[in-house]
Amino acid sequence: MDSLALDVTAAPPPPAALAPLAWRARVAWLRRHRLAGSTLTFVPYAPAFAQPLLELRNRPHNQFNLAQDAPLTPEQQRAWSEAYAARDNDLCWIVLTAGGEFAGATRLYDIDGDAGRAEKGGLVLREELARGTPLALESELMLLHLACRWLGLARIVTSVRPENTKMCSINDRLGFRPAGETTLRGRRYLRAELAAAGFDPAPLLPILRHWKTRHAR
Amino acid sequence: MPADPLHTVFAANLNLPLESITEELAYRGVPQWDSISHMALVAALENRYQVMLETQDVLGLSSVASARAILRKYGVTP
Repeated sequence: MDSLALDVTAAPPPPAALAPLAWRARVAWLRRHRLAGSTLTFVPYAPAFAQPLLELRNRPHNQFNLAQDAPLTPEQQRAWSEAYAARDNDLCWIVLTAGGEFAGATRLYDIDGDAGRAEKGGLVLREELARGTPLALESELMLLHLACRWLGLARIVTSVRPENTKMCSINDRLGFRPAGETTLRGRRYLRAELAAAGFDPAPLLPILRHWKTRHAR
Repeated sequence: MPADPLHTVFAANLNLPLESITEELAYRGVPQWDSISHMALVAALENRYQVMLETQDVLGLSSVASARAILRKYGVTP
């Protein structure tokens, strides 16, 4: 699998190979490339990551936030993997630390390039790693950079359970604004929306630069 | 009376009013103290006090009082 750098602090434009492609082909292209950030790497989801992802999704707080009534089974994860492989509007990335350790996953799904929108969700990170490194910050900035700049989407939406106050706060910092409510799997979720034109990571970049320098030491 | 400099750092990085910052303010009790603002807070403390916190201290920084205690370990009197 090819690998390329994605340093969001430098706001890179889409690679030359990606720029001329239509949106579905861009999604397919991104599924074939690893993206190396400053403190982490996005690796396109593959069944090889099913087991650690299953374990992470089955942690109690993730089960709650993802509205899973019962732990996911390996069979359910396998079925999800197969359905994911067949879709052409869904990007799930495994997050690895700079040292190559499995740290979690994130996802951009229901991508509709014609309508210019997609849904952000499914961010799960190993808390024991995420509180000591900027994994959440860089994961979110990379995903939004890819959505808004490389895929050219105009609007990103997300749904968060109201009890997940930390994620609500993160979305607020990223520029998401309330956009009503919805019900998913029988649970109440808050909707929030980010207009790509209003996506301004500048206030958050000094934090990432600080940690990038720290990692380099 | 001038504001406590440590409280000022917390207020600025958690986007909270200065008057709401107390020694007891803790990670678990404030929605605004999320994983991104935790990174912002550590960066701000390291820049202001010219220290580099060990990983265990980054993880242990869970309240204003604990931040004060951690900084003292590095010879800083915040």
